[in-house]
Amino acid sequence: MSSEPTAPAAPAFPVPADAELLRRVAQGDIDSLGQLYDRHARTLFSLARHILNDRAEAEDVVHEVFLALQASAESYDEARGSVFTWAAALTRNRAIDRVRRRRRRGDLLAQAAPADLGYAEPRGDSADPFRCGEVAVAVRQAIGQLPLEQRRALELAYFGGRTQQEIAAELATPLGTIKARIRRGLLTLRSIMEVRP
Amino acid sequence: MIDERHEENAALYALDLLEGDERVSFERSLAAEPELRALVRDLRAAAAALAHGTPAAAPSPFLRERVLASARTRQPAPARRQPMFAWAAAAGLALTTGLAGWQALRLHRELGNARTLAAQLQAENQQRAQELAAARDRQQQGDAALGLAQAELEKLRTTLRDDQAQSAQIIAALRSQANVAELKIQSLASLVGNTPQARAIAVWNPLTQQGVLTVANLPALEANKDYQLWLLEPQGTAPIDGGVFRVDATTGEARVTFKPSRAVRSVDKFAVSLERKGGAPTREGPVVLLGQ
Repeated sequence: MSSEPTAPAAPAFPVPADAELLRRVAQGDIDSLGQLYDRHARTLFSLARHILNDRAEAEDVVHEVFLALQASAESYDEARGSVFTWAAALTRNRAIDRVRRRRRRGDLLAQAAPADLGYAEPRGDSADPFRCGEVAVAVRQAIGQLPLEQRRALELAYFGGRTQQEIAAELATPLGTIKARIRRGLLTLRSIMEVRP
Repeated sequence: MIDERHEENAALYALDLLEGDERVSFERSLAAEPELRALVRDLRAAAAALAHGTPAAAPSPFLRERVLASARTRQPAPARRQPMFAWAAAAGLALTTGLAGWQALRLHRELGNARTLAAQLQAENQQRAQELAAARDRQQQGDAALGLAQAELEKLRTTLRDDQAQSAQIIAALRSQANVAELKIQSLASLVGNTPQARAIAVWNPLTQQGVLTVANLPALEANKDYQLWLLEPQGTAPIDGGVFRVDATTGEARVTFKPSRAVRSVDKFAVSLERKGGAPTREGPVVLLGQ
């Protein structure tokens, strides 16, 4: 009896973590920057577009963010948070800066931070199976579990770029209550998501 | 153990909601407490996770190359190494041509040096371009921060203007209410038996020293008679002339604005008497209406 020859096991190529990719970017490896782009650009673009409600500006923001990651790659400290957390913060901050510049130019407020912050159903430009994957589902479920008042305060803070006072005024709620809602909402979200640094 | 106040500030800090002194104070605590830093790290990650829940959207397929092309321009170019065959050819040329070969070798070396220098200069230029881009980025962030500060200042100015306007309205309203509160309003009843239905209302503003008298059901008078209004002060001085008036012959009504003949500090009662045509300096005729 002879056994059919079996092909040797394919070598396992470990997928580098984001932090390793960024370390390589710091050493001039553009391909690693491309890999980071492939992993996170869609989510970052979705975030920017959600805040700005403008494709072109959202793409400009994503472009700026990846160049900022490249420029500051050497100073990245993993102890302070993941690469994605850092990139998302850069994206949010740049998008909100653009929204505020629009407001100063007297543009219509309706172009940014729409009242419906769109957690009902995804309505993106293209159906992307990756974005409907586990992480997105988990996040939506987690957000759905938050009490409405906590969710609203978090949305206005994170996507709307409002100050504490603006959130309190918009929700006609005392400032202390808003602070408490943000605290409880974010702590609850952390617990539900079981976020790891 | 992190207390609730620090927990709250950590959540606000993670969302960039802490400002000014609050932020400075919290960052001091952050620098001193590893547990607090870990909490902020976790809360920032939780906040960043919100991005995954936004409506799905895909950037254009050209964005990737745009990003990488920009990234390449910010990278220093590696120094170029001369291919081996060029040296071998130069050496061969020198051997076969003697002095000309030696000259060619020397020129080739100088050319190589020039190329190396060019590459270094290009790298320096790219480095400067990168620094310039970083400086522009910092300036843009500075401009953004300045713009934010200006926006906040404008917001404060608007709020202050709104507050001032609102305050002016409130003050005007209060003054108006004060005027109303200071008005004397008195009804006058008939003292004449044959016209019991006659009525009058006097509204007197002591600030302006003017008033309005509204009369109803008062009989019309003959041409040689007039009704005359009097203001009676509480201290019992002589009645003050408020002027003469006539009523509508059909309705018995009249509405007159009156101004007394002299300043009146306080009015106790109003009265209407029947006087000769043009009135009298002091009351002569019967009182037909008296304030209650």
